[in-house]
Amino acid sequence: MTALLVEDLRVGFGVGSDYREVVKGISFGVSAGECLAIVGESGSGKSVSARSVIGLAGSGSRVSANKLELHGVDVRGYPDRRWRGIRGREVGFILQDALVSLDPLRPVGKEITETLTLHGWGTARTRHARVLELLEQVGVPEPQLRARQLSGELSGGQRQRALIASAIALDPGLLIADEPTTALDVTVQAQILDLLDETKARGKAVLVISHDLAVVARLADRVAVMNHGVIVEEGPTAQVLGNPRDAYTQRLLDAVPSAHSRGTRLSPATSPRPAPKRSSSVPDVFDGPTRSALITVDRVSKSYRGPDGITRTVVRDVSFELGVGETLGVVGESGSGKTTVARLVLAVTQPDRGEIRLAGQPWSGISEHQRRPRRRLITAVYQDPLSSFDPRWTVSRLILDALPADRYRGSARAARVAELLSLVGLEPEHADRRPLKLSGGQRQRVAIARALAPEPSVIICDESVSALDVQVQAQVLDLLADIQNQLGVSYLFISHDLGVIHHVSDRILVMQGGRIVEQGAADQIFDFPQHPYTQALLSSLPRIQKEIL
Amino acid sequence: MTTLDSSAALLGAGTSRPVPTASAFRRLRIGPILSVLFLLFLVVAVVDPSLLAHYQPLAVDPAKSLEAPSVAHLFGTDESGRDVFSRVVYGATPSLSIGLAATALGLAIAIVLGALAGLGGRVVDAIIGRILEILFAFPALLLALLFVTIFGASVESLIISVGLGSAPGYARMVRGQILAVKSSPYVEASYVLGHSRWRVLGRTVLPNAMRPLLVLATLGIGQSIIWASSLSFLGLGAAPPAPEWGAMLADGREFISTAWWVELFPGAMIVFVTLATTSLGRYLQRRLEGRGADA
Repeated sequence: MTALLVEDLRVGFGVGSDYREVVKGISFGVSAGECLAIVGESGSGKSVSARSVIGLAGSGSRVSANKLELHGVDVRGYPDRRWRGIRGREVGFILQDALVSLDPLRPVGKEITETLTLHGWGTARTRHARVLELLEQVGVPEPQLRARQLSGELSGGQRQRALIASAIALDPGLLIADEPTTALDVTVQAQILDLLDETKARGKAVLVISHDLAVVARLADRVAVMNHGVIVEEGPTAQVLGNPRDAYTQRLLDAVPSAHSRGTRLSPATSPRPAPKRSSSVPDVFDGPTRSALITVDRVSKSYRGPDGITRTVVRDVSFELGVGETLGVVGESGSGKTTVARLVLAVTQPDRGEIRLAGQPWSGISEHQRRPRRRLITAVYQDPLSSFDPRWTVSRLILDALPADRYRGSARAARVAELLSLVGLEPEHADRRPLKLSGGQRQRVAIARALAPEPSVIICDESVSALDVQVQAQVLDLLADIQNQLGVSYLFISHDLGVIHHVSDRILVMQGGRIVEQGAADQIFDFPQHPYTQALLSSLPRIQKEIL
Repeated sequence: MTTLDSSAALLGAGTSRPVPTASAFRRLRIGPILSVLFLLFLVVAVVDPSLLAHYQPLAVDPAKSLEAPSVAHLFGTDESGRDVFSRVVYGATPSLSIGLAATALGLAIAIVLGALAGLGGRVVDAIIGRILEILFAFPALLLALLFVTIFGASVESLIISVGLGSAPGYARMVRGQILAVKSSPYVEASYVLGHSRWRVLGRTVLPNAMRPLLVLATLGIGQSIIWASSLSFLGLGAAPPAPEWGAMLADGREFISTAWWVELFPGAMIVFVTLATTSLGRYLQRRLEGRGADA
């Protein structure tokens, strides 16, 4: 039986001449016991399609459809009140971010109970029993205790499970999940995907919205690829991902960084840049011997005192080296200490124990005055470029500010800004824009231009591509590779995304709980993981099976 | 495509809030435009009052005492036969300069105190915090009254007292802003680029911390003008014959039942200046916050 049937769905926003159609007549259906995934990049209209289906398109929207049937019943033109009777009872909805979807001041159990109460299910006593049963079912440990806790006291994975518990509380025949695993670590993601799989196995229809092709490959029976408000391709998962017919699907698949694409370009080649391989610059500002290791981190530990007065060690006894022109990937789940390592290497925080050396010279434990002249050697590209830009400044001002004052003077400064902009693939007219007016990918290019301006030897990329769409991510990763080829910079590349890490890294550090549990060459780590944690991490990684290549 | 006939559903049409259109935005700007026009009129009144007023503000003409508004005397005349319109125009200078100077002084004090508290470390922050709390314990107008009594009644002491009275509020704001900006990623990025502490402070922390202050100051000018006029009304500011709006209000209050124009026009000026600066301030605030919200 068809749980959801949609024909010629159109959604638009705005009035009069501002009217813009974001979903341009799409049709799809999901049957019981089946999972359909709608994939696409941000702005493709996938989320708003899913929301329209349950009458949540948002204020100011115009929704029309030739057919919109839930479990065989035409629901077009339903007023809000009737929708409320359907949501939760017949359709469960799982939102992307459990942290903001759950009331932070209400115990999790109450949150789930509310769905039951709203639809008049059972009595207070049976509802409570049902909540515990649900939490148990979605795999939340100690349901008695968790039900009484606030959402803030639960881990990210537990919150997402609680949200799923509330979505399936009334056993709806259709479950819609909008980016259900995007904010989660890969091992937690695997558990949530298993849970959705079980739901499907119990004969429910599942509609998943995702930008992550690997997640889709793991979960969906059929895939619909959306681009600019239309479905460009639809079919069985293996066929769409293994043998895509549409050029857009192909580009999307090519952009996914993985072992297959290592050392290759991820985005369609733009104009090939001349790549005069410059000898790498261990800078001459040092007197005394330099070594081939640019950065040496030697048994470094760092702890913080939390607001609750408890001291937590976030980095324990970490040692590694970063060589000239090398990319060292740091991978680990949230809370593993990756970002603290980046901050220690950037010397914005000082280690409690151990030492960090830059090109053989002391870097940690010296005064800021001694460090400042050499700061330009290590720069950073952050996850959210916008917050790392002074909000008052234009693009050119941001880059000018990062230019070393003693090297570029007068008109040479403006010329250098233009040079850097073209190096990162931006146009000269971007110079006078404010970063706010740029796209996510352009902003990250500006951040890279700024990081290059001081002519550094090391660039620290802290989740630099994590917030980007897969195609934009591919372009930025290609850009970083080009820059390394041309300028010989080293990268300390931090990411939770194993695919990205495998694509960019020469060597990899695997971090867990503040320790480095394993380090080695990228292929060695991925092909022969030694540490159980690395093995668990790799086995939980959803992969796209390319059956037909 | 099949036709979208009448059965085609409009699922979410016309829900709670309409999307603002271009014309809606244009409507929003009428307030600020009127405000700017009115403030321009006042600027002319300050720069060259004789362009607008054809009588001297102090020119007494007993024969024309308390005449109702007419073509000759737009706003009528007061008890000594002085032209109220001319006095209102000439009164713009003392009234506005008191408001502006007091706000500027309040901001200057606040920036110094707030910056010290925000940048000076825990001990300095604690000391300044306590001083501000003591100042906060008194209503600002009462504080201003206190200062006027200490320094004596004059325009200068009026400026100083209103400035001092408004400083604690701004200082709190500056401190909070500095603390927020100081811990922002772009300040850290600036340190990482190797800029010195002072350069980061002067070029990144302070300018960004001051941004919302500009809006607050625009809102504060209206407040300062009201306070200054209130003090003048109480006889603690400009001396009686001088054309100052607050003092004019005080002078005319015995004639309020017989000659309403003597009270109405200076009072209306105070109201309109406050409205204009506040409306402009709100507009700037919306612009600034709107830009922040885009992020």
